[in-house]
Amino acid sequence: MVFGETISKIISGESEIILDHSILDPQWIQAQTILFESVLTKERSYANDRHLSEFKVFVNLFKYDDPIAKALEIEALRNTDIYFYPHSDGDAMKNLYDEEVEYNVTNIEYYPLSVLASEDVCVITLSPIQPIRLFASGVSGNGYGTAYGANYGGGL
Amino acid sequence: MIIGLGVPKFTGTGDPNSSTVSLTHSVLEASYNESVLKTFQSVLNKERTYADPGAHASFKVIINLFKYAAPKTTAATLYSYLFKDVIFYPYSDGATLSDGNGKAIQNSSSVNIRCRIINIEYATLDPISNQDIAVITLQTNSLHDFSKLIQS
Repeated sequence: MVFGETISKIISGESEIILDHSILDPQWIQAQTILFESVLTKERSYANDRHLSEFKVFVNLFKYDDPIAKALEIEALRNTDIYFYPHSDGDAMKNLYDEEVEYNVTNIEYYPLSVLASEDVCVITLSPIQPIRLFASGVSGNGYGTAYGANYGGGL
Repeated sequence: MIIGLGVPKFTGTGDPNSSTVSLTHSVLEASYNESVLKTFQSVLNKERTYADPGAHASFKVIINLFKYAAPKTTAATLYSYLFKDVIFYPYSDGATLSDGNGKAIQNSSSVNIRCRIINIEYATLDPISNQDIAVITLQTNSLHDFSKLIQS
């Protein structure tokens, strides 16, 4: 895949938190553009060509051997700045200068998988502290690794 | 079709380059008539008159990245045009967007109306697949005349 294939991970200080049983809900581009439209001619112009990238990670706590320990590990991240890897085999999110960007863990919600279930899940919301650049110049490759590289690219 | 058959394409306007990008594996979702029609109604006799200077247009192009030989390269190429002005051809064998005279609005050198790529969404075809897609959203910077798109 374009941004990587494996599960998400977080680097907080010296610790690495692998979110094994998780699903990523990315919003890769959150435009911060401001649109100006002339009331007379309806011509449009724009300012501030920057974007953010925000993520939600659904973690199936009930799939861990010790859900409480995992919940405590995640809870310790609340309102802290971390480095986020949407896919652990890919890069951390980077800014316009190709430097790793810190993300703030802005929210963690806990709830059961369904109304009747006792299967705990949590949703981590991560917001960047700087504008993001997704691709540095000179990107090449199919992004699928060896597992997928041969399967795509043919026909409509 | 009356306005073309080929896949969409766009041409850069100098920033980051002036290359043409053909959106080979794509599906077009077009909204040609985002009207800015104004209605004036007399307070005396309730007669109505209208001013219709043209319409804005917006487009979403769903691009099946996974069908390209190098999806990551294609994704990066599209990304380099994010928040940039381009000349957009809804159908590569058809006309581009232009004003009521079929001429340029943006400048005097017969450059057609510019569209801006205002967003790109990267996603997968379905929640459990590894098949990447990108959805680019374009909107016109100036009003256009749909009749100029119709092929004679």
